[in-house]
Amino acid sequence: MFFLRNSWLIPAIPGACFFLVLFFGKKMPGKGADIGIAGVLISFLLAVATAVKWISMSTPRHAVERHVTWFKMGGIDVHAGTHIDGLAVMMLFIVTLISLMVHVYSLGYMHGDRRFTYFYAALALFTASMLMLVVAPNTLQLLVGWELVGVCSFMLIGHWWEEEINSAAAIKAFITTRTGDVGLMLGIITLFFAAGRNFDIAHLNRLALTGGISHHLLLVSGLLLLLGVVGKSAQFPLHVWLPDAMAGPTPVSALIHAATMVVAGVYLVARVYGVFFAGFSIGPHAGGINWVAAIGGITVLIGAALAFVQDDVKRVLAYSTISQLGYMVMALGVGAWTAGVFHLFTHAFFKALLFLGSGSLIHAVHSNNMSDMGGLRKRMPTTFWTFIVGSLALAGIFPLAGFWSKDEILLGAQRGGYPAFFWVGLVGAFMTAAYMTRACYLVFWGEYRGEGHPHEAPATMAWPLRILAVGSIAAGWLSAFGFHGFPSWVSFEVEGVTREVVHEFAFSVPYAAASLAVAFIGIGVAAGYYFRDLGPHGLTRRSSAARAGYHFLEEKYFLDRLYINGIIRSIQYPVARAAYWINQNVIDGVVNGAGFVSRMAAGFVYNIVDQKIVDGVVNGAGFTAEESGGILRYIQTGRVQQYAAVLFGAAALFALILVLTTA
Amino acid sequence: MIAAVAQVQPGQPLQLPHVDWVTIGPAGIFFVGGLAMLLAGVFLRRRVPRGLWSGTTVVIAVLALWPAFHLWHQIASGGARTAIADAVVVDGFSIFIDVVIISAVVMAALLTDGYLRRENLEGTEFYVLMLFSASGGMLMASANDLIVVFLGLEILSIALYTLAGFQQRREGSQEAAIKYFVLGAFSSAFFLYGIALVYGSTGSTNLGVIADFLRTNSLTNGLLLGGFALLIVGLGFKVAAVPFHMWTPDVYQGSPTPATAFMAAVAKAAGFAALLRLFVSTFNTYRLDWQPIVWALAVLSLLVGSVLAVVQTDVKRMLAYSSIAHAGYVLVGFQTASNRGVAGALFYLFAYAFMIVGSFAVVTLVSGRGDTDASLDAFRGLSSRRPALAFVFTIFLLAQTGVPLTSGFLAKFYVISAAVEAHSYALAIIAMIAAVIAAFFYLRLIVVMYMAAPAAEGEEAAPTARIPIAVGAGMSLTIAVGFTLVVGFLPASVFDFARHATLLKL
Repeated sequence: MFFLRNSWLIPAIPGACFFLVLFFGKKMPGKGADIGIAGVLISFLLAVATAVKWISMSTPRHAVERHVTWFKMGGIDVHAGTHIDGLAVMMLFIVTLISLMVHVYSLGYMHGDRRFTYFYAALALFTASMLMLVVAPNTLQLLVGWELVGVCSFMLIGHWWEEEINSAAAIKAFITTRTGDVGLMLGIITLFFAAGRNFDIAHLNRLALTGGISHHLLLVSGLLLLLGVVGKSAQFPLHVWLPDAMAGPTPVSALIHAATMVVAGVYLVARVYGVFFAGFSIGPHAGGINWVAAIGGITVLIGAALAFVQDDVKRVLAYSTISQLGYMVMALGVGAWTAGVFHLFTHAFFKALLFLGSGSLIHAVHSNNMSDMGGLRKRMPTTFWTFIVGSLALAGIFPLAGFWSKDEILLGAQRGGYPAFFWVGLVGAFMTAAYMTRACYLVFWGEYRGEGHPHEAPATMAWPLRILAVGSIAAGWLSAFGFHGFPSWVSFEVEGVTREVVHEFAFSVPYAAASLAVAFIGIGVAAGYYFRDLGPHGLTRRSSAARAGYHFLEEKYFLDRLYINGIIRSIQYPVARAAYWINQNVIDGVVNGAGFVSRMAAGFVYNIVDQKIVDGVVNGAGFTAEESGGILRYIQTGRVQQYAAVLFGAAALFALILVLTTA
Repeated sequence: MIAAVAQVQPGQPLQLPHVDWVTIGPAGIFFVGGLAMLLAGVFLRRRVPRGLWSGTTVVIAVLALWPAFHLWHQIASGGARTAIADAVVVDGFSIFIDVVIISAVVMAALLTDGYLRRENLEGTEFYVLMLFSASGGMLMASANDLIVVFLGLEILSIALYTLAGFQQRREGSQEAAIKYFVLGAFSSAFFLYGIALVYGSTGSTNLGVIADFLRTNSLTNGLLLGGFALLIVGLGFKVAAVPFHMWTPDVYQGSPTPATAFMAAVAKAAGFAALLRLFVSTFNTYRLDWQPIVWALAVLSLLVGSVLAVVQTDVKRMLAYSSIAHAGYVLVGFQTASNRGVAGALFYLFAYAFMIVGSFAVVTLVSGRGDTDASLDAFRGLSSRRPALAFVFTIFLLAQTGVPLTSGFLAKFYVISAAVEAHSYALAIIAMIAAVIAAFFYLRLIVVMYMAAPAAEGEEAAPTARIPIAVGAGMSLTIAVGFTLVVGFLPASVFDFARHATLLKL
């Protein structure tokens, strides 16, 4: 029980590392990287121990909760602590693992960076914030972790802040996710009152599933929380920040996409699933559609479509992440809780692998663009093989990780009463396979189009790739062929609730075959197009409709333009300027008018009364004073204190006289 | 004050009420301390060690904590009460505001020391005015009579006008003082007329009597409501709520920066103290009449403050607009007229005082001799010149954005949760949206500080001059940043303080 009860150490150690690196990092032999890696390694080992302990517990497993009172608010104890169940254990494992890989990888990638130490400090804080979010027993701690993750991503995306584009991307990421946070915070507060002034997540789930909160309230707070998820997990239509966030260093992208930040939204849905389940009436009799599934489904398709038109290899992966997050949200929306969470788990391996692989490419060719790559298969064998493994896993090819989890999602959608989303998932699988084939072709085949002589990455970068490649191959087997490993370890259970929330469906060969076939067709079509030059090349030149479609994708459905021109500009320019103009002219006019009148009056007073009458008297008095020897001149020296001293002296004198005469 | 409440009967000698000095102890210590410093200044003019006046001000402020603590324990054991012929009230609420004002004075005084030396303006006057002004603010917080509120308001304001124009040689400072004075005089007139109307319709200026009267009589004429409106105008001006905010950017920009810091914290705290006491406590039975007005003020302040801050290029003006938005958040708490709302507003004011004084302290240091340049460009690349200063400012800005583990997050969370509890959902949503808009310019400022990029063509190169940090300013910043972070981590004690700082039930 030691590890389960003391899992607070897992976020606390990277948290401490943040301060250590910040204050002592520069003096260390490894410039702070050593502290960061050691800290995350310890956290990772603790997380592994926690996972082992959790798995070896006798069923049914009960969540282990520990907390201290953080503060009291209006008579309510707000706790801070750890809530360890299967979901948390899985997240602790995956976050610390990916973070460790990124820490090690950055040794090579960030070598010689001007803010190397600062980078490691921010990484440590990022990891700690995410871990704190993961273990949160209540929504308030979750919110704190959530916001801190946002701040850290701001720091890391804008790591090379000297370039305007990077800091702009960082601000965009922060503001866009914060737009979603409007919903999250209000949702949390609404639930707080709905649950009888309680932030406790287990309590919320229990109430939601047992009818302790009215359906209406659950729907409202579910929608509010969903807005937060849409922002954080880059779901349509707030996905626009994620591709821009590629401006950050590549290891950071890997961390953001695989284990922290964007999966926080999915994790939130999985964590307070009771609210979503009851609020959106998820289940087989729900009519086949709901908000969560719809948002996820749309995101699957629009993300995948955009991945086709990118030249920047990281942007391909970014849109792919958007699409894959869509799968996860969709899975949760159709009631396939285990499948969604399992996809989060497997996706972390291959997406981290792909990002670190693309970092290795960028490191070698000094460009993000696939038009500067090509033919790298021979020159960078480790990167090539691991990247191919990651791509196949992402495309959902048997027997790699992505196959198992994607298959579960499709199965869950179909059997769970949401057939429309089965088809969405299938189309998405086709597109995924196709765009990854395109990317692999452009990077690794053909002639090298860039400059210089690219070479394989150093060992600190290659080893994380190999380890993650093994993970990408193996992770899916935890739930393969109906093997009941992962689903029994990680499940959604709320104490005191007997209602069955999570349905599981046995592995089905026809469905698996269908999804695998679709993936192969995707690869085949793309391979035919790129490798064999088959199909309608130059379509965008010949057909105006195709050109328009391409442009529509290139412009990212014009969403960015809508946000910038339609919303931001409209505030920043006309509204703000008009308001400012009114402020400056109309209101100032009134003030100036008043000032003008006062000035006229003052002028009159000054010229006539002061200059002619008073001055005359004063001059006369002054003349007299001068005559009388300058004693009184001391009184008019311009020093305020002296005036005051005289005033108080006189007052004291009068008071004294008063006291003496009345006594 | 005594004259205002003395019982004057024809043919009778003046009956003076019993004066319980302890009840106005904090304000009294400030006032007497100010007088003493004023006199001492005359005799010690040339032979003072550095930092004497600043140190004395801090000592006076800290001394004033003693009666505050004493009263707090008295209230805890014996309950809140009124004193001095019911003209003042001693309750947790007034003590809380006293503590807010004392904290602001301590930080502003420490900041002022180095500033005055830099500007060759050394002397006692600045500190004395600050003490007087603060004593007026404290009086407002503990007033139980409309006339006493007015007295406090004037003591507070007149000293502030002078502080605004303290840098006589600089035109901006003069302009600020004149503007503040002219407009402040208007607002005082509004306030006074409001008192007259309330007096006319209820027959008393004593808050307790008014509350009793309003409980037992339901007035249908517009006289009382007119009075409410005028009182809100007068106090809304002091707290810089839209649409009575016009003076704020000009005055904040033109005033000597430590004076700006002081007025941003103290005038706002005092103004809200009076607003909360008058409306939430005294006029509680008429809350359905005044809540819509406050609702509108809150929405306007939130949106106008946040949106207009975005287009500012001068950091002082930007902070001025952001302080308008902050007033909006306090109004959100105020609008609920609930215990949670009042506690939230108090917590917000406390947290805000440290954030805003800290922010203006950084501006004081960066804008250089003569307060000449507080533009965004002046902050460009601050991180490479003064990393610690940039870091501290980042914390203040993040706190104002409402990032967790800073006091600003809990402050926003508290008032917004109060709004949700009171079913003011629209207001809660608007407050959150305003926070998103506001995040934009706080972040932009952070980015500018960390960008040392060689300026693009047509832009001026980043400034390179060294920024000296005076000892006092350093202490002031340490206090502000310490509070902001510690309360962000461990808010329990301040939460408790705010929760127990209830208004006396009238």
